[in-house]
Amino acid sequence: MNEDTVLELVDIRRRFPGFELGPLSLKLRRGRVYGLLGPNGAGKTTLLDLVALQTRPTGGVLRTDGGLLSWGSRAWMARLSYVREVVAFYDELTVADTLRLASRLYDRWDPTLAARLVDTLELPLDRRVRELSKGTKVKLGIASALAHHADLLLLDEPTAGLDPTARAGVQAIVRDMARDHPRLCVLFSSHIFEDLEETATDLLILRSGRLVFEAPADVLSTSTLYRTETAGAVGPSSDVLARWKDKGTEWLLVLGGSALDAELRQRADHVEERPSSPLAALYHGTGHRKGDER
Amino acid sequence: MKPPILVTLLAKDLRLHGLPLLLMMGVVLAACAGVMQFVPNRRPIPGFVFNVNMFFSILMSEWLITRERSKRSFAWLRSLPVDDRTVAAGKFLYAAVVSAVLWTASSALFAPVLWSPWSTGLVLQCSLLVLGALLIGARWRTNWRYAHGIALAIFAGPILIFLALVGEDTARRAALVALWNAPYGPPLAAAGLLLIYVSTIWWTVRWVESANTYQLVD
Repeated sequence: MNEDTVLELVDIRRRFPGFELGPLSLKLRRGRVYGLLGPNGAGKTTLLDLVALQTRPTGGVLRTDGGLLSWGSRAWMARLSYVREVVAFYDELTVADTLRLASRLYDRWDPTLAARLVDTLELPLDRRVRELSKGTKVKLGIASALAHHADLLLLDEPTAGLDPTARAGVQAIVRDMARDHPRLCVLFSSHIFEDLEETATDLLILRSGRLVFEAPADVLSTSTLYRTETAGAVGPSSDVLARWKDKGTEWLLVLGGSALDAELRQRADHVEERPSSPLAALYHGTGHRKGDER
Repeated sequence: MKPPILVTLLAKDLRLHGLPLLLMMGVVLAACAGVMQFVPNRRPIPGFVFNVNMFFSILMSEWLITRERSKRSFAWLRSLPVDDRTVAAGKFLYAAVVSAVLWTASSALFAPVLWSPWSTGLVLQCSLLVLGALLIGARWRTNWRYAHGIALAIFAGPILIFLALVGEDTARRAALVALWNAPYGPPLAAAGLLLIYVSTIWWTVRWVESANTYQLVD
């Protein structure tokens, strides 16, 4: 296993009545921010729960540099931090109490770093958790994650329900954190394209329990989107990053500067599109039908 | 299981529940004192003292779990490097200590007859521990609607069946009294109750360790 890989998911599956996530294989690497996008019920939280050993897989394995992960591994829990959509610290405790509690439970807690994070994130130490906004609770989760030098930070829709200013604040924190902690890997699930456009280095799109798109985020800025009425005019090609159909129109996300990109620019039956959010275009297009290709 | 982590979790529960529990304990003692005023000659009130301790045990044990389940803080604890065994041990230990303190104080003050012989008080204390543990186990595993019913059925069911069986049979009743009065009677009863107590803890810990987190929160 590559030393840059924090966690490898191999054919991981989780079955619920009426829904199955996977089989799904994925490598999470250090220094990357994985943006996990998908509609409600796609399996985003289930995926995070599997990674955090909160839900037992019904198949497949999780592998780290220390070997296969076993259920309830305390060593693994010490290496990750999980900030859920419903942030559930103890309401009655103050921010200082919460950090003190966390410091006693993590062996690798760094009090100097924790104090610096409290300053940077402007956490009100003497306020009770019940008095905090969701944005501040997310900050508290992030502070406790970084102060114990987590290798993997899981963020489950941390910006859901936040106003635009608070959302931008969380995006900035994630960006800064990824910059300042180059060994940290972040898996950030969100419904909001802007969150991931601002923070993600890699994109993962989940639909109905299937991983339908996985690529570095800069692919979007360096690729070109074409639409055509002539379905199937372009055959399978490694330059086609994604392809989908919508109401008789075929859409192609093509690697910018590639031979295919140059060819399509010349063809009258293909029109270049410049959507305001390439991620939104990709998201709305991919993985809806069996015929979609990656 | 790491003792320092257990101490941290106990301190956390003391911080969260300490004051309300202290107030409840004060109310229980005040209620015992108040009821005693109405008893002719201010005789001891063993029945009332035991019953009020039983209700306290039910409320406290359920509250210890309900708070964590309903506010989903179990989910946060579960994402920390704390093993489930320590979390469970913390809950059972906390409930046992609080129950023992209240039982000892209230029975010594308002029903000292229960400690003469001392083994009666001990057996009743063990039964309170069992009831508290059953409530913790049942509430951890089910929602609040079923938890009380399950715990009370397990706790009181065998007693009711036993009473029904011996109710009309004086010979059986005499044998039971003789068993209780034998030197080994109360220790045997206490040992049996402690066995149920330990089994309940074991069963609960095994289940919590194997449960998915979504099963541990409401």
